[in-house]
Amino acid sequence: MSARLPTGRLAGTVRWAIAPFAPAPPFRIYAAGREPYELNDAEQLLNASRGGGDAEFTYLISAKARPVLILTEPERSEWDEVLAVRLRRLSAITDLQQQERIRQHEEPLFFHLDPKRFRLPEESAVLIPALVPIGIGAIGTAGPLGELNENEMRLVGERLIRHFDFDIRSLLERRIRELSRRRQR
Amino acid sequence: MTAFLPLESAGSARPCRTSWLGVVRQSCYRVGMAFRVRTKQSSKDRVPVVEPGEAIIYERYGEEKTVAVNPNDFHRLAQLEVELDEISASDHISLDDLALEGLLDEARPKQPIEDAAQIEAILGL
Repeated sequence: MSARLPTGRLAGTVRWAIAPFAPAPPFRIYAAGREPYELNDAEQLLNASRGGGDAEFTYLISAKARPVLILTEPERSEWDEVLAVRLRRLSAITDLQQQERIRQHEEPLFFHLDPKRFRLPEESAVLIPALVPIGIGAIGTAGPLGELNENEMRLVGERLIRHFDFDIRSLLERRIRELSRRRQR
Repeated sequence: MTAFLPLESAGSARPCRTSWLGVVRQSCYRVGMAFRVRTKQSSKDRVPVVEPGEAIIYERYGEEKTVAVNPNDFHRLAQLEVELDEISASDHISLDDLALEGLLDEARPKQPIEDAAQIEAILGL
């Protein structure tokens, strides 16, 4: 039976999804009929591939069902994966002043989600550094818990670029030159 | 009160608090949008004369209600918005067949080895 898939626009929506954690030591390798192998050293696994082999294992990694903000739209039906960002519950932040700073958009690595607009279990904020790829089949079908508007997504995009320090100098330069050319016409 | 506004103050999802000679932006979102313009006869309302480079902010109960600017400044701002829209238009690189083939080949699991003897042999366990 094929998985049920979410419908409607995904980018900009907050939805429940199964979000995986990045593989980290100890690496647990599944083997049929026995306890998983546990390896602490990534080199041991990397060497197996460096030797020219193309060995692929089933890594046992943790994942968590949680609301995420979806950033991208699936572009091709053949590629069913989107980029999302995890949320942070404000109740997990013990400093009330920091909570308030997040609400006031004074913390650039968070983007507060107004509880009046987002039907989340708890008041939360987008945690900008917490990017995660998610398969569409791992997104809930119950519909969005809320949606960011175009301007808010623009701000999230700006903060992602700034945090991850993506070098957009050549893009900016090209755009400025295009603008300059238009103005000269 | 008269204040001179930096360009980045335009628009907000929450009210901007404006202070003398500056804008307190921490609760403001930058909103890029073209102006929707309505024209009215100035004889219908009491309209101030605003010098170039000046903005008059009308407040009520501590909230900004209306800003009056010089027409030249308004048209300059409107033109800037149009140009900003132009240079920030999406420059998306579409997922073509070649990249899609790469994704399906490199980013999808194939036949993971799950046989204990094979795993031990490969990893030298």
